[in-house]
Amino acid sequence: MSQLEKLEGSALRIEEPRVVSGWGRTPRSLGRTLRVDGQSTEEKEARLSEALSDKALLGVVPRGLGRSYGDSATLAAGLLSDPEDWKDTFELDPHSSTLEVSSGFSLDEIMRKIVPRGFFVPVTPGTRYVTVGGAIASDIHGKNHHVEGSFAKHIRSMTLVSPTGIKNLCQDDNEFKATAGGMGLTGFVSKAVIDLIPIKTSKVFVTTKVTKDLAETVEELKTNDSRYRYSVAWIDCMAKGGTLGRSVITWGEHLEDLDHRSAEDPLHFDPKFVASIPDIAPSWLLNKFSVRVFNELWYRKGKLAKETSIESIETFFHPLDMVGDWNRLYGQKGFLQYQFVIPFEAEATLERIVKVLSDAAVPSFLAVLKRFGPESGNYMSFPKPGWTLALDIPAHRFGLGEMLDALDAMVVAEGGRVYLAKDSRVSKELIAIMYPELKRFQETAEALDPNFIFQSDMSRRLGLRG
Amino acid sequence: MIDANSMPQSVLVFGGGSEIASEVLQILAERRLETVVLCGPGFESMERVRSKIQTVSSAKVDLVHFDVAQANEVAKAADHIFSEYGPIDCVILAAGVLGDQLRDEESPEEVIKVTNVNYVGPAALLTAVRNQLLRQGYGQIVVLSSVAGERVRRSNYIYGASKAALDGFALALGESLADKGIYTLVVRPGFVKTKMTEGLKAAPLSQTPKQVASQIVKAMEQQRTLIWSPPAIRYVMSLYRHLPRAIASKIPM
Repeated sequence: MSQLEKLEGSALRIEEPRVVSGWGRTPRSLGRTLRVDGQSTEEKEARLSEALSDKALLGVVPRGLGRSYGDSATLAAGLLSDPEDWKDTFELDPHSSTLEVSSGFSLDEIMRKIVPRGFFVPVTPGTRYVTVGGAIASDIHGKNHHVEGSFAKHIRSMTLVSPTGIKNLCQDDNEFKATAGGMGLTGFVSKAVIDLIPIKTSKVFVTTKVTKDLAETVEELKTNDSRYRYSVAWIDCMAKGGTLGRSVITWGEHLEDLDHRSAEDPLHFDPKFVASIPDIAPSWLLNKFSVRVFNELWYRKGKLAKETSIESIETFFHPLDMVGDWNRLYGQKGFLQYQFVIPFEAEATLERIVKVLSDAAVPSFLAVLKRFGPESGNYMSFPKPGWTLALDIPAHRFGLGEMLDALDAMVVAEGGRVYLAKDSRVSKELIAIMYPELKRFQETAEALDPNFIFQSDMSRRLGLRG
Repeated sequence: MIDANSMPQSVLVFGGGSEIASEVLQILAERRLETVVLCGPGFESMERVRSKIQTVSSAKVDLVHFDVAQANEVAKAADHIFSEYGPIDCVILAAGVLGDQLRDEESPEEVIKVTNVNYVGPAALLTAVRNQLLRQGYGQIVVLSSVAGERVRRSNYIYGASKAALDGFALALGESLADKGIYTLVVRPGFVKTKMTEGLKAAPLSQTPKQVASQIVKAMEQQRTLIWSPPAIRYVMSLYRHLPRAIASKIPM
């Protein structure tokens, strides 16, 4: 292949093909890692930019730690970036509370460096194992979305390496709005300047409330969310009848001061793995009986918990990170996550959807229910005001595709949408309805990348690049 | 592309006039199907399949002349189809001929014909398809085998032996591709009421093409790699396979 010869001898290397998938391990495809050598972020940006100007280059998709669930960071017969190459810049400015950081750093790596110095990331999802690049591409949200919006809102500027050059982008730029939430399809984000949150301790003051059904869950969140910076409900989608939608709600605030006992090291942060899942779990391990037992235990644990408590950052924000490779629990056949948002006034539809899931006895661990704040204005960002529900479902079960299609129809009818970072199965026809700015996104991406070098299995499946 | 429920958007069928493949396509057309390429020797039957698909969906259906019996030509023809239509999500191999046991067992030429259509051509074709799917980096293969290939019976041993060869080839090919991100399904139908079996007395547990097709799509969704249709025939065949030869040879099958 002439391409390989050409890249050989330059600062770019293409590795042997390997099977790549998202966190859900389905679907899979063969891709090759594109490595970029260099001494600094700027040197690598220049080298990547030069390679991207070659019209005959294979397709490229930026890939971080592979935590998006579906096919957004895979590209069959294409090239995948490697986050290890993008870790040269890390400048914390304590005076302005900002961090200039290469896109390959994970939130885990960032937190380990900034928490002891009294700062926290503006937005964190349920895992620290996402890169800055991935956080921007998916415009991720966290438990504070109802107050502080999604990740890209806290970006002061970012550098985009696209086939038409290296650009520095700010919030108001058209290219920024296409890149934030743009699933890596406008180019490669090499670094960003992020606004941080100052914190006094590494602890979270947590208020817990256990609810008996969906109506109470909804009421509690509506009434009390505005009082807290962080809010989320763990909802039991397998509960039946009168207990349908029962939840454990947790609200949180960064703790301002510690009592004398632990005041010596108030910013201590050193999360550890408790266990790692070996790749031997059979696909039937998580079934409606085993998961129901787990959910019951979780609910009872919530009931026993004190109304208020002090928790560490990792137990409050990232409980699953304590278990390494937990996606292997679902076995070789993998799983998918279904996450949608519907407007606040569509509560009845929310209840209908939870009922469909409960009736289907989908073996789903506690799902996450949350209220979103305002939209970001980025063309392909997922969050919009309303209820968002996210749940994991074992893949390759008969009838699952049709059931989720039926849920999509209910979501779209309410003006809702599904989250591309989680998706691996939505139908192409619905995307333009769910994301009304799709056309503008496509035009902006095409201006940046007229030869359609930036693609993914998802963009091909859903026609995201047009 | 293929979604997390194994539903393809583009399908290439060898044996494009096949009634089972036609029913599979009609089910897939209700899900994510956008483009279909039917390949076969006879345009009349493929036209019928095309009009059936287009009554249930707006999928684009193209017809290509293709003769699987020309074993030396199939790889070149397949490469040409992939360069024209690729990447292709799912390849269905439904080409096959039943032959006429009583006539064919006296004719070396007829035995070659049946074996070429059912095994030699398909084996070369599957190899070309394998290479193409590896090149494009993903894909699905569905191979229509037969219970006749599981234990070859004297009442149709020419057909049975050719299907036995195909069955073994496809199963092992599938195993070799599993860790390369390519999914393979081998289907072993029992007696299916189609043009191919017209005039024959229906065997017990016989199926319609539609029934077989719904089991195929279900198996794809579940990512199973080997199914029997109907499922119960698996146990009948298992029993038959384990009968001592002395007893099995007394059964008129």
